[in-house]
Amino acid sequence: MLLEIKDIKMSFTSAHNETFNLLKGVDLGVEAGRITALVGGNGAGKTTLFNIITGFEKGYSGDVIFEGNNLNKISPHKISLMGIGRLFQGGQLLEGLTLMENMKVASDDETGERPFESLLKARKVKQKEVAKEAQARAVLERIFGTDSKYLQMLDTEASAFSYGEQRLLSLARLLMGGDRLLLLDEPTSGVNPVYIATIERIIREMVEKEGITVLLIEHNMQFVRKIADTCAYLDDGVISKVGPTAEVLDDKSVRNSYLGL
Amino acid sequence: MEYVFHIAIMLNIYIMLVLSANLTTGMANLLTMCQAAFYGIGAYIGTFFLMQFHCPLVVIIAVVSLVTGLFSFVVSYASVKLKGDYFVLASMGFQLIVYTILYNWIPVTRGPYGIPGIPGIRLFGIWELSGVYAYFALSLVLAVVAILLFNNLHDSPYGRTLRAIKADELMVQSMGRNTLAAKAWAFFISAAVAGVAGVVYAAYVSYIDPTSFTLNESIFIISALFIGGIGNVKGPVFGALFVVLLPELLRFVGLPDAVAANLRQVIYGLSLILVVYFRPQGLFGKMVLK
Amino acid sequence: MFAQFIVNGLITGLLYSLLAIGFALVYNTTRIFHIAAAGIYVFAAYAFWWLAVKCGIPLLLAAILAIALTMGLSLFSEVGVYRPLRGKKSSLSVTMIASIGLMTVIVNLIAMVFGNETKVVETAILKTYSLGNLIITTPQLYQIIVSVVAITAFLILLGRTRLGLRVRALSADESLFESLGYDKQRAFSLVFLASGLFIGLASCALVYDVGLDPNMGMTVLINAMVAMIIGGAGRFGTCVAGGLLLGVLQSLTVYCFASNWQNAITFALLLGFLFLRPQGIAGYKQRVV
Repeated sequence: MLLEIKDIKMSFTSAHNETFNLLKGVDLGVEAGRITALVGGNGAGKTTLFNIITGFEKGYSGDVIFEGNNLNKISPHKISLMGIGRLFQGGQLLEGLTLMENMKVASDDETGERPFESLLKARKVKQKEVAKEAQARAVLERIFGTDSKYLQMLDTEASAFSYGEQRLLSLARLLMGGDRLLLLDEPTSGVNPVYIATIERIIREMVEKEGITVLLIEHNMQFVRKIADTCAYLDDGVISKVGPTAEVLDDKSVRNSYLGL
Repeated sequence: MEYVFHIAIMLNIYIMLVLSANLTTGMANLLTMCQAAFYGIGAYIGTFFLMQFHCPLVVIIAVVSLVTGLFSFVVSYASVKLKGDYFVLASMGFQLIVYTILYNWIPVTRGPYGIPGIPGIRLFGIWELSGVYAYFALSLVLAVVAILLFNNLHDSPYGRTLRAIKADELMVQSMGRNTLAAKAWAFFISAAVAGVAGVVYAAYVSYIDPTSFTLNESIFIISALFIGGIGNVKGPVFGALFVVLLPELLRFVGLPDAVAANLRQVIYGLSLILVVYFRPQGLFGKMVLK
Repeated sequence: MFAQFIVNGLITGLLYSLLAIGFALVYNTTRIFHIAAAGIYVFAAYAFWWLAVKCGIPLLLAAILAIALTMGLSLFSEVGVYRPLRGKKSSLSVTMIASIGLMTVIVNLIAMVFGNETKVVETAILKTYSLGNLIITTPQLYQIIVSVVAITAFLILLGRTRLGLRVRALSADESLFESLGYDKQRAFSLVFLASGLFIGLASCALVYDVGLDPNMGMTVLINAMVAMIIGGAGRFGTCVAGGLLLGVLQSLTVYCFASNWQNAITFALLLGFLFLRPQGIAGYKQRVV
C-alpha cells in the first residue's frame, strides 16, 4: 500500500458549541500504480479527508502513512515535497502568472526561490530556470503533443485560458512536481464535457506511463466507472464499502444510500 | 541650492520607504500600516548605536537592518494567525504600540523631547558625514541600491513565488513551497530597508522625535505607494516623487505654510480616491491589491 | 476615588459604544473598513462648533443640525465613494484605501477652513451634580442621557422591528438578502445614515466636554474599532459591552499608572484580542478561510 489511512476520526465544533462528528474511523488503503476513486454524498468529508492527508487539517486522530512514513505531524509543504501532489476542488492556474510561470512554480526544484538567491548565485539559478523551462516544455509535449498550441502560449497569462483549458493545464502542471501520489479533487467538475475525455486520457497516461498513483474524488459516476480500478464509498464517517469499482457502484446498499436507487 | 539637495535627500529616503512597503503590500498582497514603525525603530536603534559606538557605515547598516528586521517577526506572526481585515488592524496596532512606546518611554527614548545631537555616520570609520552634500551622496547610493535590490527581487523566482502566493497560497503550499517563510522574508526585508532609511534620516537631521513615526506617516507611505503604483519598481519610485515634490510645487503658488500643508494632504487624499477608482494598480504600477 | 474613576470610565465607555455602533453598522453590513468615519467624526464636531459658537444657534438645535449634516456626509461617503467602487468590483482592501483618502480629504479641508488649533464649544463653568461621593459634570450628564437613549432605541429597533431585521439579515448574508428581493442599495444607504447619526451623537456629546481639533479623529476611531473588536465583531449588542469595558480599562490604567499610558492599554487590548480571542468576548467565531 502506497498510502494507508488508519482509523481517522475528526469532529467540528460549531459557533454554538455543538459537536458534529464528521469522520468516525476511516480506514483506507491506496495501492500503488492504481486509480482509486473516493465517492460519497455532499458533505460526507471527502475533501476533509484530502485535507488531512495533505496536512492542511491537523485536528484529527488516527494515522496517515505514506510510503511507510507517518504524516501526522508534518506541515503541508513538507508533505508535498515527500511526493504527494494535489489538485484542489475547482483547481485552476494561478492568476496573474503566465503558463510557463505556473509550470515553474509547480516544479519540485526550488532553487532560486529564496530572496537574493538570484543575486548571489546568479549562474546556478539561471541554469535551473532553463532546466525548468525545458521540463515544462517536455511535460506539455508529452501530454498535449509536440504540435500543441499550448507550446506557443507559454507567456500567456493564466486568465486568458478558458475554464476547461485551465483544468487540463492544472493537471499537466502536476507532473512538474515529481510526485508519486496525486490527489485529485473532482477533476471533471465544472468543466465542459468535451474536455472530460482528455482529462481521462491525461490521468490514464499519468498512471500507465509515469507510474503515478491516483486517488480521486468524483461525483461523475460515468467517469468513475471508466477510469477507476478501485472505488471506496465514504458514508456516515466511515468507508462502508471498498473494492473493484463495478462491484461497489453496483452494490445495492451503496446505490440505495448514495444514489437513492 | 542647498535646499534642492535637501529635497533630493528626502526623496531618496522616501524611495526606500515606499519600495519597502511595496514588497509586502504590492508583491505579497499583505497591506501593512506599520511601515513608519519600522522607519522609527531603525531611526532610534541607529541613533543609539551612533551615539554609543560611532559606528562606520557598513556596521550601522548591518545592525539596523538586522534589528529592525527582527521586529518584523511580530508582524509576520500576525499575518499567519490573522486574515484580511484583522491583519491590517494588527499592523495598525503594532504601529500604534511602537509609537506609544517611543513617546512614553522617556528614560530610554526621551519621548516628545526627542534626541538631539545625533552624530553623523562614519564612512570607513574615520570620516564623519555631515551636511547636505554628504548625505545626498549617501542617500542616493542607498536609494539606487534599493532600486536594484527590489528590481532583482521582482524579477527573480522569489518574486514569482510571492505572486503565486498572492494568487492562491494553499495551492502554492501544496506544491511544496514554504509560504510562511517566503512571507516572513518579505516582511524582514521590508522592515530592514525601512529601518536603514530611518537611520539615514536620523544621522542627516541629527534630531529625531516620535512625531516623525506616527500612524499618519504610515498612511502617508502607503498612499504614496498606491498613487505611484504597486507591484513593480517604477511605481513606488514615482509615488515617492509625487509625495515629496508636490509640496515644493505648492510652495510656488505662495500659500501660507499651514494652509499649504493641509492642501497638500487634500490633494493626496483626492489622488488616492481617484487612483483607486480609475486605476487601482496605481499610475505606474502593474498589480491590483486583492 | 476609585469609584469615580470607574464611573468616568463607564461614561466614556458609553460614548465608545456609540462610536463602535456607528462603525460596526458599516463594517458588519458592507465589510468595509470605514476609516473615513474618523473624518465624519471630526466633521460632526466642527459643524456643531460652527453652528453653536460662530452662528450663535442654541446648543440643542446646533447639535441636531450638526448631526443631520453628518448623516448627509455619511451618506455621501457611501453614494459618492463606496458605491462606485462596488460597481467596479474593487476589493475590500482597495476600498479601505479609498476610505483613508476620503478621511484625509475631509480632515484637511476642515483644517484649511477652521485652522489646526484646538477649539472649545463651551467656555462657561457648568454645574456639577453629586451622587454621594461621586461627581458628574453637566457634559457627562448629557453624555449619559444621549448614549443610553440612543443605544436603547437602537437595540430595540434592531431586535424588534422589520427594519432592524433587515439590517441583521444584511449583516449575515448579503447575497441572500439581495436574492430575497430586498433592495440592497437602499439598505446600505439607510445603514450609512444610521452610522452618521451615531457618530454625530457621540461627537457632539464628546466635544462639548473636551473640545476639538482636526486631528482627533484617528484616535477616536481606533477606540471605536477596538471596542467593536473586543466586544465581538459581527454583532451590535456586543459593541456596548466592548465600549464599556474599554472605557473602564482606560480609566483604570490612568488610576494605576498615568494618563499617558492610556492609549497603550487600548492597543495592547487590541493585539491581545486579535491574537488570542478574535471573536471578542461575545462574538461569533468566524471560520477563518
